[in-house]
Amino acid sequence: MNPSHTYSDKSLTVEQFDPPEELRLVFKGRSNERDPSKFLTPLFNTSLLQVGGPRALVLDFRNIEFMNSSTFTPLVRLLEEVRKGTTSVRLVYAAQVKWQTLSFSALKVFESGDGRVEIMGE
Amino acid sequence: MTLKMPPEWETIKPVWDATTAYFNGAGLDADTGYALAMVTQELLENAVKYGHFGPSDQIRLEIQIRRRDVTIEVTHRVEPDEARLKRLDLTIQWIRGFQNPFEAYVERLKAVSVATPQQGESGLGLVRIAYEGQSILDFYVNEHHELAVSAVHPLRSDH
Repeated sequence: MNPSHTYSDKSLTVEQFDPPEELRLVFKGRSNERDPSKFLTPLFNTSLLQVGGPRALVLDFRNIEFMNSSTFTPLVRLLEEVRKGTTSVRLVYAAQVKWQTLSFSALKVFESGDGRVEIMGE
Repeated sequence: MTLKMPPEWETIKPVWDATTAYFNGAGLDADTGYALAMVTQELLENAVKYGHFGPSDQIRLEIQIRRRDVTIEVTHRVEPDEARLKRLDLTIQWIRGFQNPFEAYVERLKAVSVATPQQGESGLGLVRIAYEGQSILDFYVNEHHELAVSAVHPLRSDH
C-alpha cells in the first residue's frame, strides 16, 4: 500500500496511511532536530482531527533509527492529551530492538487502562 | 577518541555515525554501541543548547574505552551562571536519588507531558543517559569557565 501523504523534516520522514479503521503514521529515519515539536506537534494535531470513534491514530515507530530526547516531548504531550480525552492512540515499537523497548516501554505510564491509549511492542 | 567541533546543531549530527563506527570498531556489542552513541548525542545537544560561546570557541568530545568502563566527556564554555550550574547539580543529584533510573525517567516523562513550552529545559536528556544509557553522570567547571559533563558506562565483565 502506498502512503496517502509523506511528510519530511530533514532526516525524519513520516508516511501517512489512511485505511478506514485507522490513521497510521509510520516514522522513518532519524529525529534529531533541535526542536522536533515544530514539525511533530502540528502533524499530531492535524492527525487527531481525522480520528475518533472506532477509528484510531496509530503511531508506528518500528522503523525509526534514532530519536533524541526532545522528540519525546511532543509525543508524551500527545499521549497525555489523548489519555484525558475520548480518542484512541496506539503506539507501536519494535520489541526486538533494545533501545526501542527501553524508550517506548517507559511510555506505558500514559496508557489509559480502557484501551484508548496503548503502547505495544511487536 | 577526541573531537573538536563548532557549537552548531548541524555539526553535531554527523557525530552519530562517527561514534557508532568507533564503538563498533572497538568491539562493543551493537546495543551497547547504540546506547553510547545516544549518550554522546544527548551530551553534545545539551552543549549546543546551553553553552556560552565566543567566535572561536569549540565543543570538545573525549571518549575513553577501558576494560571496565567507557567514559564520554563533553566540554564547552559556559557563562559563570551559578543558577544554571546549580540546576545541573540538582538534576544529577535528583537522578541519583532513585534506586532505579527507570523510575526517574518515568517521573520526568510525566512532568514533561504536562509542562508548558515556556518552562524551559526538561532535563529529559540527562535522565535518558542514566536510564537508557545506563551511565553515571558527573560534571565539573575548570578555571577557564568550561563545563565538562561526563557519563561513565560500566562494561560487563565478558567484554
